[in-house]
Amino acid sequence: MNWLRNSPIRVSLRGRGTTSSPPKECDPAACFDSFKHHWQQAQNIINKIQGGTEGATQDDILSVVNNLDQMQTLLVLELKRGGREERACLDFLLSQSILDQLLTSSSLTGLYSNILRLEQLKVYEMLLTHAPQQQLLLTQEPFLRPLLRLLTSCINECFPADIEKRLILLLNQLCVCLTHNPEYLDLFFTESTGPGRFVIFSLLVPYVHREGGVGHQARDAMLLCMGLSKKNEALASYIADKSNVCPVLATGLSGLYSRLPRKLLIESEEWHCFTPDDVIELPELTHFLASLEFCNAVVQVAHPLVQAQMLEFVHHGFLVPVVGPALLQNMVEELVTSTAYLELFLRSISEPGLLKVFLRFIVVDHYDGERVIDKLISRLAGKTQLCMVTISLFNTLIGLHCEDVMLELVFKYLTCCSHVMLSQRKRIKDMDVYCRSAERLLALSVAVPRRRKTNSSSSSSGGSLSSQSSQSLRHVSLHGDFGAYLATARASIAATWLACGAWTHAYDGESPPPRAALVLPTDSNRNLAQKATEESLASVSSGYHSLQPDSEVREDSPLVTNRSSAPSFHSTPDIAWIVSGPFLDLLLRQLENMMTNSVYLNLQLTGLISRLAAFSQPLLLSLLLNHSLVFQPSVRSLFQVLGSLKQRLDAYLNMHDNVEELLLEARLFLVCREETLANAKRHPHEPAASTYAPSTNGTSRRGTSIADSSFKGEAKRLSISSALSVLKRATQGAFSPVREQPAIEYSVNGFRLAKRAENSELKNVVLCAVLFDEWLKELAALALEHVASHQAVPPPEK
Amino acid sequence: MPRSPPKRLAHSLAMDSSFSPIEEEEPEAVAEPLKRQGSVRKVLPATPGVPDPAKLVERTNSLPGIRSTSQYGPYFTEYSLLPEYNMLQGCAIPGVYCVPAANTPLMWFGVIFVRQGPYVGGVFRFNIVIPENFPDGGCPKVEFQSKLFHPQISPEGDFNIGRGFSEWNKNMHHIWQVVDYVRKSFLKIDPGQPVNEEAAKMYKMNHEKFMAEAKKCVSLSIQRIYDLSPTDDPHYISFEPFDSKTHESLREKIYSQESSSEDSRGLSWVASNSIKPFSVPISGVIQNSS
Repeated sequence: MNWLRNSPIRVSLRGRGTTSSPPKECDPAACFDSFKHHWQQAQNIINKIQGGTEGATQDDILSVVNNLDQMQTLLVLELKRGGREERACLDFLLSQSILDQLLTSSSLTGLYSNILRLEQLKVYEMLLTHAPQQQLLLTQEPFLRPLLRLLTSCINECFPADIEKRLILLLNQLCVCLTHNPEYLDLFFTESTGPGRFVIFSLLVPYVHREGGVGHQARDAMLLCMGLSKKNEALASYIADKSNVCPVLATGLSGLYSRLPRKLLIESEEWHCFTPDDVIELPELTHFLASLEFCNAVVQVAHPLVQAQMLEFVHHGFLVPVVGPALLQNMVEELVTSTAYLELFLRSISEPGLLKVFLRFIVVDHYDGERVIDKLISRLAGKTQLCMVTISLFNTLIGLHCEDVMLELVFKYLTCCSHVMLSQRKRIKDMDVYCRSAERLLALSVAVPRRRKTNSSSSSSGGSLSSQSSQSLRHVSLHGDFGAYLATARASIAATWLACGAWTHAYDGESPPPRAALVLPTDSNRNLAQKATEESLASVSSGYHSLQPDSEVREDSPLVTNRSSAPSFHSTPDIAWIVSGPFLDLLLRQLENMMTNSVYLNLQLTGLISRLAAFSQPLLLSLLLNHSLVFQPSVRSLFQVLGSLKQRLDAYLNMHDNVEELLLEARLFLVCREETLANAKRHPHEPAASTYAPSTNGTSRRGTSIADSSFKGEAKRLSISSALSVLKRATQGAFSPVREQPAIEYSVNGFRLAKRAENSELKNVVLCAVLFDEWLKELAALALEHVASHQAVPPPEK
Repeated sequence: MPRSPPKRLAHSLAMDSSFSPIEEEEPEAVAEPLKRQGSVRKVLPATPGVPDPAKLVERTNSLPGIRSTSQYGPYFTEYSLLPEYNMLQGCAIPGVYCVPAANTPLMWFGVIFVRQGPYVGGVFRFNIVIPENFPDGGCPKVEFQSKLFHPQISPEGDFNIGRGFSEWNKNMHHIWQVVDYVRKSFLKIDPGQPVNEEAAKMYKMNHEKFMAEAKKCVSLSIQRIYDLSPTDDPHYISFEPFDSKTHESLREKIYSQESSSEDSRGLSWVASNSIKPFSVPISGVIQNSS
């Protein structure tokens, strides 16, 4: 019926309707007379149509519509005048059952029924808009009865756009009205609409996935209904049991998900999550997120019955059949995409019930005996893009501070206390009162080798930094001074502590009691260990990096001068996994490869570990930041890994010349990045931020990523690991360590250094050293703040 | 009531209900676990990247010792003292209130309301002076500002802390113990190894006269209770007469603080008797009290 939209009839109708509008100021009596007169004329035609046999002609309809337009104008005038006694027209309209008559006649007009339907929708809308006490209209039988009949007649109909617009507008108005006056809700459950049927809602359902204004208004109206359902059992049971809205919404998600790009052309090595800019530039993703956020809102406001059903359908209609397979497939590029999507979804939803469904799906659901989370954990190994997005996903997961997730990842293993020596168990809760751990951490700082006489290669590259500038740069910290690290740590610990307020257990070695925890070396654990090892080996053998992180290779490598000092855990991965869990073990193992990881991977990795170190639960805290606790020999503690890293970094840097200059340069490079990042955050919508170029076979990505950007607007964390993980185009490539370009010019205070490809390994290690140093400060600040924020201070025995 | 009180102190004072001279000015005891509010922390720059270089540099230069030779020395000192202060707050030693000075973490202002014994009713001021290389520099000193006639307090006001802590063992000793020791020394007079021989002798030989001297100290301390602050440190504990215009709103605030409990929020579906994720039965659908 779309032809009506542009039909000449309508154009002519409009024209006539507006030209002959009555004068603005006229006395009520004259208006009333005019109103009656117009109705008389319309009624004559209606009677003729009803009585006649030949049906309505176009002229008949035009005439009726014209009269109705006049009547509406008069009604508006009357209602706007606002006198209480002078509602002659409205009273006449109701007492003569004019709305009923119109409805009856419109059903007889055949081809033209939509024109009359539109007029009626306009009349109701006008009345609801202008009537001073709209809710009282609902109690008027001559108003409500035809309204319900009209709405009921609209069910399962397809309408042209103008009618759709009017219909949704009217439904929205009704919902607003009912929200303000929920006591009238029962009026809409009548026999005439079918038993227990809430006609407003049924009409809205087909529009929930609509784009544009109509869809928006329909979703708004539906949310109002959902809110109403919270206090109205009849409505709740209608929505949950009779309407199909929950499956429609859930399968809608599946449909929209299937339209998302399966591959992203990621041009920046450091890209690891979707930024708001990315989302804006992917219309399908924007659309999907709108739908997901709508589901989130529905769960938030709806009656528990509706809520439960909604969650059920999201789980069985979306997560299990669609997201699960996408996360468990074999195409690596598509895995990167689906992992990044999942991370984005977790950031976009906030309703605890919906979050629970997502988290439960990740932690509990099996596919052929394999859980999603096991698969995800196994992807932490390696150096690929997949690893980056997976770390980013875990960062978001852990940032939710959900006990169940942390239990699964970490505490399930640590509650046994099998990672500490038996005699040390009592010390798990001990606080490090005199800053020893922080002192130890800071002492691990890389020793800058004494500057040797530089050879000619350095002078040929354009001179050296003046001693003055090198002096001033030596103590440049990436995060301001140490006080800034402390402030960041304090905020992060406080936020984490607050977010864990509802946790069931303390995880302090006593609650839950160590005996309650029992993790057997199950087959699935072993498989996981096996697979992760294979995957990490695979990524190594791909020749992506020249330095081999694996222990067998390392023996001959110049990277390790003192072989015995680097403890080898690789022979028995299983035991470590069982003791501290695969998640922590893989993270620390990945950390051991810091020198060969790309700086971006290191930023992600250190950021994730710092996030873990903000948790105050003694079991985790002691494993990460307690320097004096004695662990079982098979357990990798953060201190051990850091110590061995320091040794290898020192040894490596000692073998090279010009390291001091390179360190300064790297530091400056990272400081520049941070500044660019800060500027980018201040001006998020500058054109430079949008570096997104769509391509034919997928979607192209260049490096714009604001690490901690969150759609929920949570407080921005400015730790070096997260802050630095942003690379703007302006600085990109300047000190890009893995880019094998022959010579990249990098200018510092007029100093230019030609980068050579053979230098890239050294430069990567230098960047790593700078990052390592800064991260030590971050960890030390966390250690200090943990002690300072320790709340329960039981005085020692008096 | 304190004149320019750090919030914490106002709160602490509210807990003292037994001190008679200003009894009616004091709200009833509020037994709330104290929370750290960080008056010590003010020494650190509040905003990242905006350090207070003057202070840090000054202290860096003035601090000897191994720990303080590094640029982190001042931080370590401060963060070693923070737990000490937390512990002291946690103990809530009756009648004693301490606030670290705003200008240095190494000096804490204290005031003791004596509730029984010869000095009952006295309000005595003291400073705790902490060695710069704490916890290694020996026992903190306690210096009384109020004039006191006491066997363990020298005429100059120095408290004989060595009597209780002959050697400072950082693994066993904490500042809260020092404060508690000082409090107890007013309850039961110990004339052994005195630093005020006269007082010790009098205590043993002429008990009544000693008691009269003690009373003198008490009334003197009450007379001087509203004396102006001798220092410009904003954390100095000062008092002013109760004035409902100024203090009533503060008092109400203290009461309302007590009643407002913090929301516990967060995500957890772990059943209390379980260590399995999502073990809360479905009926208890969502645990989210926000």
